[in-house]
Amino acid sequence: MSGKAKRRDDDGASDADSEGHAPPKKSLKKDSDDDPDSITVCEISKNRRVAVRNWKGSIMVDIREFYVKDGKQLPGRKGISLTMDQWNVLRNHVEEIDKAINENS
Amino acid sequence: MDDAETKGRIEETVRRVLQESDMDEVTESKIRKQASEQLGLDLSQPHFKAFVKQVVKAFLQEEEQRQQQQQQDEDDDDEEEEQGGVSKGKEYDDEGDLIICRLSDKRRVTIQDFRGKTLVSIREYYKKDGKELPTSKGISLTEEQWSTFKKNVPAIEKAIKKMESS
Repeated sequence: MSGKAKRRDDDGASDADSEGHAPPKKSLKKDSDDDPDSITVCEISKNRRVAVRNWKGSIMVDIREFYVKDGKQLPGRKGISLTMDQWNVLRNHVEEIDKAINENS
Repeated sequence: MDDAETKGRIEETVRRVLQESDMDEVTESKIRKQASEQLGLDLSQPHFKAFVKQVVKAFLQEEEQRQQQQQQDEDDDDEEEEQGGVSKGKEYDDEGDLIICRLSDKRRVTIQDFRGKTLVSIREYYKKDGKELPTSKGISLTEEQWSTFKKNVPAIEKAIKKMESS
């Protein structure tokens, strides 16, 4: 398993997971102008997005919360980057997750 | 009358010998010999031999029926368990959250019940004191966020392929 060194932004201790109140938006797939190695796929809430990135030669699926500072949206510490192997496992269990949610609700 | 009485004693003895025998090892010949010794009769004579065979056969049939009945009772018990109990195979972590799958040795997807809300947690765990505890490295999605994420799985796949070809 390849080690993933990540830039850690220290934005204070995180308590319970915050919940976005805005309706989720489905954005068009677009390349970030400032980062050619990143594709923002969608926003799952006001401050959370899913991106596909090239990190040191490895492609990662990044599910992360963003925060605003100095007018810029910066990646926060709350999130996780998945390798292709991990993404494949998650993708293959999507229906199982749905089933578990329905049973739990 | 002697014949009837003798047959009664033979049947009783043969059945007792059968009950005391290891059914996997015993043979009809051995049964007959043991019964002969106990009764003081020569059961290898043709008409005795036929009668012993008959008793053994009847005993075995009854035994088979007993086992079938027992099997049926056990099946009924199984049905009760399946109806009332939780289905096996579901795995829970040390905090009682349902584990959907493991992405790697350290990472897993769990379903949490947080303050009455269902969350999908994709998180890294670490081991301490024999327990596997969640770290802050990860994210918990609400049902709404998960739903949006799921709808975009094809788009994510598309982006991966695009990134791979660049």
